[in-house]
Amino acid sequence: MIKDVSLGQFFPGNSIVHRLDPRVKLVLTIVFIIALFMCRGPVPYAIMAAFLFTVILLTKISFVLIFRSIKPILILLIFTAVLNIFYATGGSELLRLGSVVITTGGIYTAFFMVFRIILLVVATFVMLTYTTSPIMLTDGLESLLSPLKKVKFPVHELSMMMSIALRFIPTLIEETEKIMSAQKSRGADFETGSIFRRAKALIPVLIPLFINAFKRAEDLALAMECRCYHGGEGRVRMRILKLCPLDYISIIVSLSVFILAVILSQILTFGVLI
Amino acid sequence: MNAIMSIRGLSHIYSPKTPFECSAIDNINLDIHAGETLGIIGHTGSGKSTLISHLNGLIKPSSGSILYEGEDIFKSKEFTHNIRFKVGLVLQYPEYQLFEETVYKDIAFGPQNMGLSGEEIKTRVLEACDFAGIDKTLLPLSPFELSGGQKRRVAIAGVIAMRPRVLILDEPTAGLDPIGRYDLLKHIKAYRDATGAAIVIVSHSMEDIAAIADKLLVMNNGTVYLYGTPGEVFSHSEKLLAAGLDLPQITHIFNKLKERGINLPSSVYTVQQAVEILKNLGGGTND
Ligand SMILES: Nc1ncnc2c1ncn2[C@@H]1O[C@H](COP(=O)(O)OP(=O)(O)OP(=O)(O)O)[C@@H](O)[C@H]1O
Ligand SMILES: [Mg+2]
Repeated sequence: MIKDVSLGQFFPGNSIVHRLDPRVKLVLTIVFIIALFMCRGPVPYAIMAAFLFTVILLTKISFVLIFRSIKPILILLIFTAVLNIFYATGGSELLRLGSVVITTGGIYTAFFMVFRIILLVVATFVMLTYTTSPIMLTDGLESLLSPLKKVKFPVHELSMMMSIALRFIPTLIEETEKIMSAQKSRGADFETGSIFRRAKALIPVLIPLFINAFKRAEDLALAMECRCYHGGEGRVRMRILKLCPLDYISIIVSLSVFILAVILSQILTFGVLI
Repeated sequence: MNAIMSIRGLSHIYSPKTPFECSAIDNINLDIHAGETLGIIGHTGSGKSTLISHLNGLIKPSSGSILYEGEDIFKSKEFTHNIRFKVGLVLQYPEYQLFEETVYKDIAFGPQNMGLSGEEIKTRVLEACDFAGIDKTLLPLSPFELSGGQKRRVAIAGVIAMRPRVLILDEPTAGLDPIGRYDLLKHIKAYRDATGAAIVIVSHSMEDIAAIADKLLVMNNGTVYLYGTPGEVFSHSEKLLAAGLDLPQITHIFNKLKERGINLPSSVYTVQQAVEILKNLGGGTND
């Protein structure tokens, strides 16, 4: 079922990673990704992988789930691998099929590209979505973006829209499943036939879904107005984000690891060049 | 009597092997007979909806099997698809599934999926309207213009129009006014009597269940807690109360009377029975 897709889902918990300030996690994830793109060679990648591995252990999320989260991007991975094997050059020639040449350099690049994408995806899942509730995530984002308020950027409105959207995604999924079940009970068939037929079969699902969504939006607007919501002006928060020692320690440790990996790749590539 | 549907050792676990793992029902065995009305009661989250969603193959069992006239409903994809026309399922709050431009077209959705001819579809729609108690003047209207109760009836008619041999309804009377509930139950009964179909009805209202069911299944934490005729089940008042359920009002009154030392039978669950018993007790007249 749709619900089983663990992509981007939050797993409640009480690990160190869960308790970190969302702003710290957001920034560290971005820095991790930047560092990843600056890495060259096996050793720096190994360091980054080891870092991520430690984080996974800390979250106490099972590896089965982590593997499952890679499944949806499997096609992308295969595509990347194939493209790189055939088009990247360098190293010695391994195989020649007509005009297609496979080189050791190609295989080497393909391997690292795939590895990099996996690290990137798993890092965003583990460091952000799996361990940060959507509410915390938007709070963190709002706080990080708040300097933009000075240039009249609607930060509060944006984050409110985001939290509402995030809040209603599970509701919409649940409702889609319910409506699909109801129409299946009346013999609707979503699984066989041509693409055109399948798209047409979705009409009985989409119409009630949209009608209910509009109705819910109206209700929500009314409920918010009843509670005197009038935008971000003068609104105070219930949860105030505050950095604690744990946050500082994780920033220092993580940044050290990232810097080490980046410096090592500079030195190693330099060495190779000489 | 041969069962039209048999459930053998049925268990279902939601989201297995994740932190959200949840065993909803566990080792259920049950027979459903044609012409019989089975009432299912149980506290919120006891697995009633999960159980009945298996019966037309909407969800697959984690273990166990479901037989329709002796054949496994998951035998083949084709067979599961066709089972849905024989085992009609009306889900909880079915009014949210309406989508067509007119009430007529919406009721016709099921028969159309069966591949019936235009004439046959028309017969079925009109017949389903009678069974669900829908005024024919509503047919050309948009389903979104109707009241909640009318929408409910249209949704039920949409399933009845497939002429199912087993009609399953998940809390069909929730949110209806007393007259609406009574009327709906009467129509469901009429469908059973006219077609000899089996009815399975889930409800939180003990009065509704007592009024319509021939057999009662009480669920508790995903297992069969009690099973029997309403008389048998309602005579276990302590057990029902312990499972977080209630008794019909009239049974409460009779239990109170018995506590005061009046000699009365212990399985009274409809007002009609009560009237009979009190009449036979003598003293006073009934008019
Ligand atoms: N789609 C789902 N995913 C995960 N768990 C579910 C799902 N649907 C139901 N459950 C769980 O299964 C259990 C049984 O739910 P079910 O809906 O069958 O109860 P119910 O008896 O119909 O309750 P109610 O009287 O409220 O309708 C509950 O604990 C519920 O949390
Ligand atoms: Mg239910």
